[in-house]
Amino acid sequence: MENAWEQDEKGGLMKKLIVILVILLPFLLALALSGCVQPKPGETKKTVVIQDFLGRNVTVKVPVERIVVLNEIDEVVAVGGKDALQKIVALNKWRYKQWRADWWEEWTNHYPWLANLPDTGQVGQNFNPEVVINAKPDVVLCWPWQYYRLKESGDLKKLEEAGISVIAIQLLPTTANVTEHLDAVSKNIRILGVLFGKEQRAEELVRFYQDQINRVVTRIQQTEKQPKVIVFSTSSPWTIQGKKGYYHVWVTLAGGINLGDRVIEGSSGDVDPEFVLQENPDVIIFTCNNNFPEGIRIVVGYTVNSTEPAKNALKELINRPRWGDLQAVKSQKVYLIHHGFSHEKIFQFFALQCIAKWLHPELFRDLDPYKNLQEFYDRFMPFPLRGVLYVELSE
Amino acid sequence: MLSSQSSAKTGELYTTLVKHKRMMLAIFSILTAFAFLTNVCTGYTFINPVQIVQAITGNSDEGVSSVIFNYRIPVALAAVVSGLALAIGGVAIQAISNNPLASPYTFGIASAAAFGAALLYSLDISLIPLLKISGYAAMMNAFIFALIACLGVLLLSKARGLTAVGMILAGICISFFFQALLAFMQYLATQEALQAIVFWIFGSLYKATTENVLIVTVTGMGSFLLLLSYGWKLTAIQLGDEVAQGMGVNVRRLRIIVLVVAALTTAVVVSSYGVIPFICIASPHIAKSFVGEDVRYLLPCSGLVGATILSMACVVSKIVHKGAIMPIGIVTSLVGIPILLRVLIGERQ
Repeated sequence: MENAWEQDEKGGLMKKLIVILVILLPFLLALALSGCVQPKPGETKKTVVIQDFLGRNVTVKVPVERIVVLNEIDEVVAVGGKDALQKIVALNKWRYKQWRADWWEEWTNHYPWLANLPDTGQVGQNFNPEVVINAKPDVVLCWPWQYYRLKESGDLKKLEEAGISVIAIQLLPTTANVTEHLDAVSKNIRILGVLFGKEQRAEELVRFYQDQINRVVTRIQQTEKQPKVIVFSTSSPWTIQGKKGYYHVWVTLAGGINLGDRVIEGSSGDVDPEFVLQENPDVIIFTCNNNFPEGIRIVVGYTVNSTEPAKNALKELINRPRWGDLQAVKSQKVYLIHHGFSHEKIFQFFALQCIAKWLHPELFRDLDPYKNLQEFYDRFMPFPLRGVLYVELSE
Repeated sequence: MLSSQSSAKTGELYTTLVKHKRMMLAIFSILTAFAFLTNVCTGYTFINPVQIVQAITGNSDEGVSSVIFNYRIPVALAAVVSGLALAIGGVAIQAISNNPLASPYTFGIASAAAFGAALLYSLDISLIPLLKISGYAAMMNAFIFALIACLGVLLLSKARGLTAVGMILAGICISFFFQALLAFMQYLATQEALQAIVFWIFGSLYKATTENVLIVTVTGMGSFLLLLSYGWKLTAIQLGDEVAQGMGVNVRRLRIIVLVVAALTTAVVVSSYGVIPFICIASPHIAKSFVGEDVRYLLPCSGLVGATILSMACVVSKIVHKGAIMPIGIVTSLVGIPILLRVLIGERQ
């Protein structure tokens, strides 16, 4: 009896061991395979020191194979091509879903697997460093403000201890000095070129961007007219773009006077309605991320097919006491543009070109910002451009 | 003989006190009128009182009269009626909770209203979907949630027999609950929605329209008259529940009515112009130092103090940086705190 019992116990033990082995098998396999990832044949890796936007020297093995993107993927793909998309191992999906819903819809329409990527969360909000560490990236791409937040929170140290390099890049227009702006953007695009081993494509993109900006700034010298412009947000009735807002840079480069610069010291703030009446702007621009005082209303974006919703919104936005007397309204020089195209993007030239055309229609008669943006998409993006990105009151 | 002499003296003292209080009311009425006028005159350009009279009589330049009627007067009226409504809400809540630190905001009215607005901006949820088109959705969301907060305080404090302490505790719970929900909405919000929520919370009298000024005026004046009719009862309840009951006051009933009235009044203001802090807590204290605890005088005096402070804050918000409007919520505290400190330090001395 005792033997039988012992045999039963041995048999049970064996079964348990087999079950445990079966459970562990995938993990053991994954562990074994994880050490086998080798560079593709013929591709040689080299160690380089990259100076990022903040002037930090970061040592990275390039071309990188695994990247985590905390900012946005458009530039990554514009420089690195479709291959770069496959190299993304974790992404700040939170930002896309929350801040640029139409862009996220477009990306996931074309590449549904992006939706299954691990979500790092937004830095300073719900960032999870473990997601980044588990993704074992060669490099993490972020914006400068995200870098500072990572540093403050101690997350940067954790990432660096795990052997992960963090590179800050920025394309934001911060200066109306064209040379400085182009230098800053070019430097950042070249960093991406080195990271993905696509230096030539990066140069092409740099040339393309410089050309698009130059199409405005070289010609603007031919006119002395300086129309007065005011840029409103659609989210709050009297919020305008001030001295430190990126629209200030674009309006200045487009040969206009940003009236907000006189009253709002920061990037945005509320203007006295009487200031608008008194200063009587020649052009009024509404920057719109589909937020209005009454809530969310999708009027512009990749997923919008008709200009009607945006035009109706525009008509409601200018329906304010005495606005009928404003020069801009009388001459129907009132416009609404997608907020996402104005900053921190390699295709931000679109906002500058639109503004230049709105301010000096005769000078830029032959300039077609949408067509130029389309060209950018055809040459550098993995899918074509679509959607309504701006409307004019006079249309 | 002695008693008749003393009663005559008391009578004389009472008459003097009443005279003093009436005088104070007259002075604060003049101050409010002055603050209102200053508010109308001040803006990107200075419009003098003569021009205002000319505009009213129809003898002024169309541009000036349009600015006066479309922007200056609605904003200045909104400041007066909102200041008054917030201040009387403060008096009422401080009386029924017998707590000088309480205000309608302590009962979660502000956080609930802000949550209502944030719900719209973050998740695009409008409690009355039809209102989305008219632009009143944020206001209605805020208003409905402010009333839900009030109902929550009532139900929770009922468990403790509607006592002053029970109400405060219930208020704190409700307030924290809605603050957590508001924080959650901010967590979910997009960058622009977050900005919209923050600006909504800061408050802006530039949201003033004929309709919302009228709504605030009607609810404010209605509440004022109703609370004034409960004047002596509200004075009595501050002496303690037993004393008030001994004087024939139905304490529970009074608390329910006054809480609902104060909540309604505050909710209308907050949902129209955002969270304007300080007025409802400070105005009663400032008024008390001039007219004492008698609610019959304290109520109108607080209202006038509130109207004056908010009007002056509005003036400051326009002149800090000419052409820009500083959020009113920031200015009320900056303008009001020195006044309150002066009064409190003066009292102590």
